[in-house]
Amino acid sequence: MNGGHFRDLFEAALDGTLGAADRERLDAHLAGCAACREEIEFARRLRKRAARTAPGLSAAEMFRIRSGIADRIEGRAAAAGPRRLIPVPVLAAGLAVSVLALWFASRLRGPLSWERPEPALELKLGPAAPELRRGQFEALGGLGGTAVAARPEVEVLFDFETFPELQRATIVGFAPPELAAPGYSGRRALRLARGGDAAAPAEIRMRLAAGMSPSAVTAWVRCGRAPATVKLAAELASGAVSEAAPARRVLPGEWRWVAFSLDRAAVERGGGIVELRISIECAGPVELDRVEAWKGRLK
Amino acid sequence: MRGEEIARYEKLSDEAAMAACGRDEPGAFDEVFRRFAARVFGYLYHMTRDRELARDLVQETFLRVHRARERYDSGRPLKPWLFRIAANACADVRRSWIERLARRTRSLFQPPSGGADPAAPAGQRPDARAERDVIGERLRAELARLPPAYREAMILRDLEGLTCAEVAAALGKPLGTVLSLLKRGRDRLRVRLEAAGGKESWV
Repeated sequence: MNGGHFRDLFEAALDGTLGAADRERLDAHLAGCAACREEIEFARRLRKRAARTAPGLSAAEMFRIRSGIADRIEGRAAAAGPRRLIPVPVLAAGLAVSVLALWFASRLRGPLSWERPEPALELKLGPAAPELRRGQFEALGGLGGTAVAARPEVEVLFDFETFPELQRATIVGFAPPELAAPGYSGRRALRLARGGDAAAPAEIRMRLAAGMSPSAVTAWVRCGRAPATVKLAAELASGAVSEAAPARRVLPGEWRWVAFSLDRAAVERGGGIVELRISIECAGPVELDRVEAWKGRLK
Repeated sequence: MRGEEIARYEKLSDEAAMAACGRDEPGAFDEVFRRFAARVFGYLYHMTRDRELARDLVQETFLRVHRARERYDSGRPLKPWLFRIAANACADVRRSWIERLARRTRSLFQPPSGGADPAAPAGQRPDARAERDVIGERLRAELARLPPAYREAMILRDLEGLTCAEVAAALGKPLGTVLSLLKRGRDRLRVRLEAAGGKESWV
C-alpha cells in the first residue's frame, strides 16, 4: 500500500462506517492496487475468523475471576493474587516446609489427627517428584483429577482449572476420614497429605453432577530407578466395574500413559449422580503424576 | 435486588456504567466486568497464549479498573481506557523477572503434555478440544510470533474489533503509528499463514 492517505478510508471500510463519496474514492484506488485489495480482503477474513478463534471464558471461570477480585478488593486471602507471579519452586518449598513443620509438631505433641509418618522420613525438596513405593493408592476422582503420590506423604490434587465443569462436582467423602480436605482454593481444589502407610489406601470419592459421566481415564506415571508395573482401574459406586487397563510396564525415566475406558452405559445407569473411584496399583517404585478422566471415546 | 440492578444497568452505555462504578453504586462494577471480561480475556489470551496467565491478568486488570474507578472520566470512551489498563498489566508481566523465572521453572514441574507419549492415540489427549480447531490454532500461533507491538495492535483492531482511534488510545500511540503497525502486522501474518498452508487454507 503506497497511498498513505487511503489508510483512514481503508480502516473505515472495515468498520463499515465509510460514506458514499469516500467509498467511491476507495474503490477507485482498490481497482488499481492489488496490494490494498489483498490486505483488505485479508483483514476481513481475519475478522470473520476471529469470532471462531475467540478463546472464550466459561461462566465458571468468570465467576472465579470475579470472586478473586472481590477477595483482593476486600483484602482477603493474600494468596488470591495472580498465583503465577509466585514462582513454583517457592510454593513447593513452602509446602515442603509446612509438611516438615507438621511432622515435627506431631513428634512433639503426640499423634495428630492423621497417621504419623514413618520415622525414616525422606523428604525431597526441589523439582524431583517423590516416589510412590510398593503399595496401592486409590483416588476417587472425576474429570481432570490430578494425583501426586509420595512416600511418606500422599498429595492429591484435583485440578478444577483444566475442566471448569468440575466446579459442579462435589467431594463427598474421604477414607480414612482423617484425610478430610484441609482447604478448597478453587484453583487447586483439594490437597491432602498423610502418613506413609501404603497398606492403608487413601480414598477420595467424588460425586459428579448429571451429564458429567467420564468415558475414559488416564494416568501419567513415571518410575524412579527400577522398572515398575502400573495397573489402573475405576469402580463406580453403584458397583459396576469398568474395564481395567492392562498392567503396563514402565521403564525408568520415561512418562507413560495408562488409560482405560469406562462403560458409558454403566456410568449413566447411576441415575444422574455418578460416583467414581479410581485406583492405581503400583508394583515397584513409581512417580505418579496425575490422573485424569475426560469425556470422549478412547478407541 | 440483584435482578433490579441488572435491569438498571443493562440499558446504560459502557461509559455510564463505569461512571456509576466510580460512584460505588452497587452492581455497577459487576456490570462492567460482565460486559468486558471475555473480551479482555481474549486480548490477554492472544497476547500470552497461556490460559491461566491470561485469567490472572484479567483479574489484575479489573482490580486496577476498580482501583482507578474514581479517576475514570466518563466523557471519554471506556473501551480504550479499559484495554489500556489490560495492555499495561500484560506489559508489566512481560517485564517481570518473576514471570520469566516462573516460565522457565514451570517446565520442570509440569508433566509431559499430551504429545509426549507416541503410544497415545491421536485425538485422545486432554486438550483434544483445542486440537480440533487446527486452523484457529495456527492463526494463534502465527499471531504469537509477531513482535508484540504488531500483535497488540492487531488483536485489538482485528480480533476485538476496536476502531483505530480506540486502539491508538488504548496503546497510547499516535494514530499514524497504529495504522502502520496494523499494515505491517497484517502483511507479516498473511505471508506466514499463506506460506504455511496456501492462500485459502486458513480461513
